[in-house]
Amino acid sequence: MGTEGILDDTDLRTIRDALAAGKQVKLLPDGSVEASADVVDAPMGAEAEAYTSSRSSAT
Amino acid sequence: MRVLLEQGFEMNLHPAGQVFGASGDGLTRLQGDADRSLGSDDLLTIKVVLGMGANVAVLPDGTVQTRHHLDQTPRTEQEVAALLAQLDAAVADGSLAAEARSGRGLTIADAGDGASTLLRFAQAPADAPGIALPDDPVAPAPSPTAGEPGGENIPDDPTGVDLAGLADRIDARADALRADALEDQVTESSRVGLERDASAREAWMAQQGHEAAWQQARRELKIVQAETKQVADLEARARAAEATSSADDVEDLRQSAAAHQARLDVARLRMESAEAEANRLGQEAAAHRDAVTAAETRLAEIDTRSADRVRFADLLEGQAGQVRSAGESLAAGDVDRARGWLTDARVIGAGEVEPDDLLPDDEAAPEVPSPGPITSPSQVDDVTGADTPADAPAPAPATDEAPAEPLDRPADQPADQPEEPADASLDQPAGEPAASLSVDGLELSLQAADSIEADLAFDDFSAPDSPEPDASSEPDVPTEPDVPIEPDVELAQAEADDFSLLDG
Repeated sequence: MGTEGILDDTDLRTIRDALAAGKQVKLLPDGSVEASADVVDAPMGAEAEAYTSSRSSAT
Repeated sequence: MRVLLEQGFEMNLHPAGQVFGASGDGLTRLQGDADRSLGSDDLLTIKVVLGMGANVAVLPDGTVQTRHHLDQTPRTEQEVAALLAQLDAAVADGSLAAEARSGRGLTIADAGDGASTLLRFAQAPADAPGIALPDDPVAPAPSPTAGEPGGENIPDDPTGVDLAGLADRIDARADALRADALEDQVTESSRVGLERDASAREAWMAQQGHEAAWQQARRELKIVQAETKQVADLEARARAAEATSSADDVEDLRQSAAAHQARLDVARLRMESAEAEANRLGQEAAAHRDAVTAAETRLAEIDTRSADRVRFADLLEGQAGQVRSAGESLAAGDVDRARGWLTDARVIGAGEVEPDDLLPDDEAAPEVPSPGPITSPSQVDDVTGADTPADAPAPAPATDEAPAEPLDRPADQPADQPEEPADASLDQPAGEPAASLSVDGLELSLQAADSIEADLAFDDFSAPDSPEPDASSEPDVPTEPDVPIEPDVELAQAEADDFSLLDG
């Protein structure tokens, strides 16, 4: 996968859903998004979600 | 974050809101969370990576950026502690937050001399995910193919070359160089200027203290002189009275002598204390004046370096214009013309070498007393304010020049050439000073004798031919003064009253 599609809407939804489920998300340079299989922490709080979203869209 | 991914970073998002990033080579890492301030995790990371010898930046949004080197040298615990103390100071005094609001982050990075580390604020580029640290590819570095004055990267053949893109890159490099030059000038000039002004104030204060202590020492010397004479006189009279007067009269004279001896002891103690303080403050003032001189030299160097970099940026912009013209000629089908423009571009600045960054020389610069890590914009503005010592109406700061000699100190008296005694009739044997002062290398000695009551002026107190005086020794008082002398404590007291403002 090229980098043109990095962090498109689908990726952002995947990220948000995974974080909300308490999973860790890995973003790779090739544009792939990987969510951990296991829950690593409590589901993301509102503040953390806001921050993560802002970082995800801040390009 | 997209920029990071495009630069080969791998990012990890934690559901707690933390974001971690690592460059493809694993040497650059980012750690951020929703809290813009430095948390315990951030500080721990900073402490650990500094200990490993890596460089660190705290970005305006609170993200901690670290950069490792393959050949990095671990820092000692003391070095790490010192750096963290400076970081704490930047947090405590609000400068870190203030700079962050201006889009500037704090870097803790190698100074470039291979031995030291500097804390300094730097502008975080809007189009890059971090601040350039030594050996750090995070922030876009000038492209090695962007062209340089000297033209080695300007192609000979314009065909098949993105000349517009090349011109843009050269322009971008010129802009970055110009911005860096100005930023360094502001940052470094502010820092050194603040150090210079602080040293100037310290020098002025030390000089004033030196002058005051000097006056006090001279005042006490006069009292020592007068009291020494009184003691000698009264004891001589008591001895003479033993044969001619009653025992009560003799006792009265001895009690009076004892009272003067007590005053003498007090004055001697105060004189020696003031003398020591005058010498200490004189040396302190000289050291601060040296620091002022060093800082002013450094300020001139910074200006020169900045001007060199701006001039280099000008060359780059000229080169970019030639390359752009080559592209236009090529687009118009005039390959020869385009080739000519490129030849011109290569000629621009031939032999020029880009000025080095300021950092390495900063460490080599003369060390000047620092008022602390001051980099906030408000403090920078203060540097150019009108309330600096040099602008203060009065008293004039004594730091740039020696102050005017205050009060009655002989302003034109060389420190190493004490004046000759005005009264050569003093019959105190040379080499037997009763008391002496040594300030600024100038020896002032009291010649305890019976003929000095007529003039207690300062000029009479030198003993240029005396051997090394011992201020702690008791006055060598003649046992048989040639001329009876009436007690004249009032005279010494009158002299002392002239300096009543200095009495503590």
